[in-house]
Order: sequence, then structure tokens, then C-alpha cells
Amino acid sequence: MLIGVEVNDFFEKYGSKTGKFEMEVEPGFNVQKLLQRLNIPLDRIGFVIVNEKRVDFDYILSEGDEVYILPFATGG
Amino acid sequence: MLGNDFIRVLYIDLQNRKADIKERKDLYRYLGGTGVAAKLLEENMKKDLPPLHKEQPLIISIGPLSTIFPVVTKAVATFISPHTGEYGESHAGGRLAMAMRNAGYDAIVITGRADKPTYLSITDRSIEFKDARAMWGLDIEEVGRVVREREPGPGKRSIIRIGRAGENLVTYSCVNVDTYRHFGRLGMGTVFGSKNLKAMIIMGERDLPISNLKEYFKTYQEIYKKATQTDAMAKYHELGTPINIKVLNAINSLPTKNLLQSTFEHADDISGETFAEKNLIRKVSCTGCPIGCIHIGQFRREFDKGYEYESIAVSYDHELIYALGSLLGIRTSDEVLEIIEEVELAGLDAMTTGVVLAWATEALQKGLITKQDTLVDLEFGNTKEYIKAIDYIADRANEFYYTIGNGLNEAVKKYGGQEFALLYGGNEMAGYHTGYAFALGQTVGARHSHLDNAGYSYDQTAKELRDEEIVDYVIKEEKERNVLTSLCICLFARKVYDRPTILKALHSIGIDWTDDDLTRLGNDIFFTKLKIKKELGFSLENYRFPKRVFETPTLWGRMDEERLNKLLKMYIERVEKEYADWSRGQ
Repeated sequence: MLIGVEVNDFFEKYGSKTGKFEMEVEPGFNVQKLLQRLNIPLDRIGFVIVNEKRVDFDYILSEGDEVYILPFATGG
Repeated sequence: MLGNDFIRVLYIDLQNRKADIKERKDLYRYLGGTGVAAKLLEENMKKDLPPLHKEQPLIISIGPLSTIFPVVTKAVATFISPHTGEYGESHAGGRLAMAMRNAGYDAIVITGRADKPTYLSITDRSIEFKDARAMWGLDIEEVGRVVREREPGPGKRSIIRIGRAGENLVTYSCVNVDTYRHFGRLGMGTVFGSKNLKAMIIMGERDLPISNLKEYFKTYQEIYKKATQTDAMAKYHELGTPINIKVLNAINSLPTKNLLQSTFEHADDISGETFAEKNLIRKVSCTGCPIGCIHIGQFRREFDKGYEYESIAVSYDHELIYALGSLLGIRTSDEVLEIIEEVELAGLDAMTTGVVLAWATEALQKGLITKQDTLVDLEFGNTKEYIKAIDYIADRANEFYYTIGNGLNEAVKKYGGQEFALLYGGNEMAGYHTGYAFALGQTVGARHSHLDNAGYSYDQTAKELRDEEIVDYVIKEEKERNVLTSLCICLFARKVYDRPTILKALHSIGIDWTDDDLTRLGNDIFFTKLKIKKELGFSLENYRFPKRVFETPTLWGRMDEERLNKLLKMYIERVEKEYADWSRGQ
């Protein structure tokens, strides 16, 4: 099934693909597996937002989901 | 003082043009930075006199690790804030800490009012009071250039100065430090103005006595590696704090259009990524920092017809993009930089200026004020009109601008609109509408800064919100940050300088403190500040949060007013109990 993914530029240094793209994943695929496939260290994740709602790593993705992966905002 | 168990304090009396130096052993237990500066404020302030009275002191302090360890770059200033009327504290980087270190002063206390505009030239050998009448009225850039040209000496010096806003006593005027850094919040620039002090140049060439060079150098290298070869600080160099714009926008936490919204339809156009692609021309560092977090952006301005352009470079970060960007509905990175430049030249605090203008925009829309007051058509997204309004604030152009030049607390007394005046604890809001911990944290923080206790961080990392835990977090975090800022460690390096690292660094220069000593220090500073605030009449009893913060969703949905009030009550009860215990111990 096809999902939309947007990975924040912050994760580029971990070798992750960044920007907006589409991905083919298997049915039953969860967020944690997606992050692993994208080479994003789980302990660097701030937020995973699917269809504008914050979700946990065990969230099961569905066809057409829009996934947005972000770090935490920091003080400045 | 490096190598000695005392704090070397330079006292300057502007009124009588006198200076004195004291070696204060009794202050050594406060180490430096916020600890020494708070203590010096406590003993020199006149609690019954107004904040801008000539007898009120202005203090700047550095710490034992300043300049000689990586990312220990800050100088801490304390004063009675003309903006809030209570405890004022502000931090700045640049070259100031290095210059004070080389000149041999751990702290500077300035009192009195010069009888004419003056600038100070401070070296390790001399203190000179110089005529600044010709500089009065000059903007930040011009006065920096004039002082540079007039004062001979090596490049290792710091020039700090005010603009028109400070001269005109706008209560949220900043002190510019070496062009790209600032004592921004709470009106230190106003205190300069009230003392007829336009600028200070500081330099020196004293040796830095390190007794155990081998241990010091080993410790330095370890810290340097941690700062540069791990990802503890990498994010501050890459996109810098503007990376926050996209993140906060995605989680309903980016204050937009006077917080009528917490997401911005043009967030991508003013994001850190967009600034990096379109405007970023270089990154620079404070002296002694290997990171390079200061992002300089450039924009092009047409200054005359016939294709006449100039390029302007200013520093930008998250708070500026929030306060002078999303909060005012500004849609492009170029326009945000244009507004930043105007604020810079006038010498205003960027955050408060943005929040004041956002309130004025809505007040005009709602008919609480008219165009006769504002002189311009304030509307969200209208850069040109905001730029004119910034000048009017700095010049106190009419009664309306005079009033808003005293901040939103004063503005709402005269014009109303308290319910949408974005104030926390009397200071204008920072750029994180993340939820309860941020709202509580900025309200109760000693200097009403989001950086006092980083409530925004709790809001983001918590799996669920627990009231006891929120109160506990903001208290513990503020005490711990007091340790870091007493050492003048940049808060961006807080992950580098954990407790063992701090103790090791202190040990390497002959300061044998323990973990318990640091805990005692954080606690003492926390309550010393509270004592000052109480003496100045500050109280959070009967405090009311502005309605707007409950109307617009945060990361955790809409905040419940009752719950936030309950959190505040819990905080007050706990801190008052601890304060009573601490006072007895004193």
C-alpha cells in the first residue's frame, strides 16, 4: 500500500531520506518499522504525526496515510 | 577570580565619575554569573526607589569557567526591571565575557547617572568616562562604528551599546552586544538610557593563571570533543533554533497572529529550512564557542529608484521569527529579516516588540484604539506598516506609542484588551504555545523567560500530563539552570555540561566543589532571586492568565483555565514552604 511521508531535514545527519516522498509499505506496517526502514534513530524522534494527529510507534499505518516525522523543538 | 578564592568586583559610580575595585571573598560561594549578579543586586538595590532611579544598580557578571572552557560564553546582567518593576536578569554572549575576563573583572556594578551622555572605556589598567553627546540619537550600528573608530586597541574587545529606544526609556529596550548578541529582555537598555550611558567598551590583556595546565588541558579537550564530535549541539549549528518553526507549526504550538491561531498557513515560507535556502550567508560564534549557532541572514533592499539596491545582513533565530514573523502574520523570510533589522537598529527587545505590535493590531481591529493612535494601518502581514510602528515605539511618537512603549501591562490599563494581551507573569510571551508547563514556567520563572525552566520541553516530552510532575519539573529545572548560568555556560550546551563534567572542569582550575555544593548553589540562587522579588513587591497571588491562551489549541488541545490556575496554586504553595525552610536556614 502507498503512504505519503515527510521527514524533517533534522534527520539527514543519520542518513535518512528527508523531504516529501511516497513509500510502498506492507499492510500491517507500523510506525516503528517505518522509522527503522528510514534509518531514523528512535531516540531522536520528537513527533510522528499521521493525518495531522500525533501517534505512537505502534500505530498501524493504512493506505493513503500522510506521515510527518519531526524532532522536538528546542529552547532558543 | 581565576586562581584565587574571591570575586573581583569593579564598582563604577557614573555620578561622581569614580571607580573602585573590591576583592569579595564572601561572594565566592556563589561562583559567578547569575549567583554573584543576583547577590550583588540584592545588596545594592534600593527597594523603595523606582527601577530607573539613578541610585539603582546595574550588574554584569561572568563565572570561573568563562572563556577558558568551550561554550562558556555568557555574561549575566541583573537590574531592577523597568518593564516589570521587579527582578531583572538577562544573558548575552558575544565577546563580552572574554573581554571582562581579560580585563580582570569577575563582576561590574554600575550606579549613578552621568550628568551628560557618556560611554565607558574599561581596561585592565584604566576606567575612563568619555563624552557620548555626539553619539546620542545614533542607532546601534552607527554607535558601534563610532566607538570602534574612536577607541584604539586590539580586536579582543567588546562593545555594548543602546539605540534610540534605550535613550527614550522604552521599557523593553535591549543592550546590543558586539552586533549580533543582546541583553534582550526586561529592559537593560532602558537602565543604560536612564544612566545616560550610551555604550561600554571593555578590553584587557591580563594573563590567565592556570596552575595545573596538564589537567586543565585534558579536561578542556574532553569537553571540546563532547561539544563538537557528538550530536549534543549539532542542531544548533545546522538550521539552528529556526528548525522549531516547522515542528511547532505541526503540533499546534506556533503562536500566530496574536495567538488567534497556533498554526500558520505560511509557516513553510518562514521556516528554518527556507531561511537556510534563501537568506543564510554565514554562521558565527561567541568567543570561546566552537559551535557557530548564530545564523546570519541577508536580504536585498531597494533604497532608490533606478535599480539601486543594498544588501543587509542580520542575525535570526526562532524567537525572532516567531515574534516578528508568525505572530504578526508575516509571509516571507525577507520581510521577517526587514523587520528584525528595524528592531535591531532601534535597540528594542524583539520578543516584546512583536507581542506588543500583535496586540495593537488586534486592538485596532476591535476598535479599542484608532488609526489616530496608531498613525499606521496595523494589519497582520503588513510589513511596511509594522516597520513604521517600530520607529514610532522607539521615538515614543505620540501618547499611544508612549503607552505601548511601557509594555502591554501598561497598555491594557489604558486601552483594555487584557484578554488578548499575551503576557505571562508580566512579561510578553515567548514562542512556544505548547501547553501547561510552558505557561506555568514562563509565569513563575524568576525572569519570566521560557529559558528559566524550559516548560516547553516538558510539554513535548511528557507521555501524559501529571500536575505534581509539572510543578516538580519547573522547580527542579530552574534550580539546575541556576547552576549552569552561575557558571555562564550557554544553555545550548546543557547536555555537554552534566554535573560530573562541571565538577571536573572546576577541579581542573582548583575549585574542589562537590555535587552537594552545586545543589546548594542552585537552591540558594533560586531563593535569593525570590527574596529580591518579594522585596520588590512581586506576588502571583490573584494572578490572572490572559483568556486568549485558553482559546487557541496547544499540543495538548485547549488548556483548561481552572487546571492552569490550580497548577499555579500548587507551585506557590510548594515554593513558599521551601522558601520558609530556606529562610530559616539562612
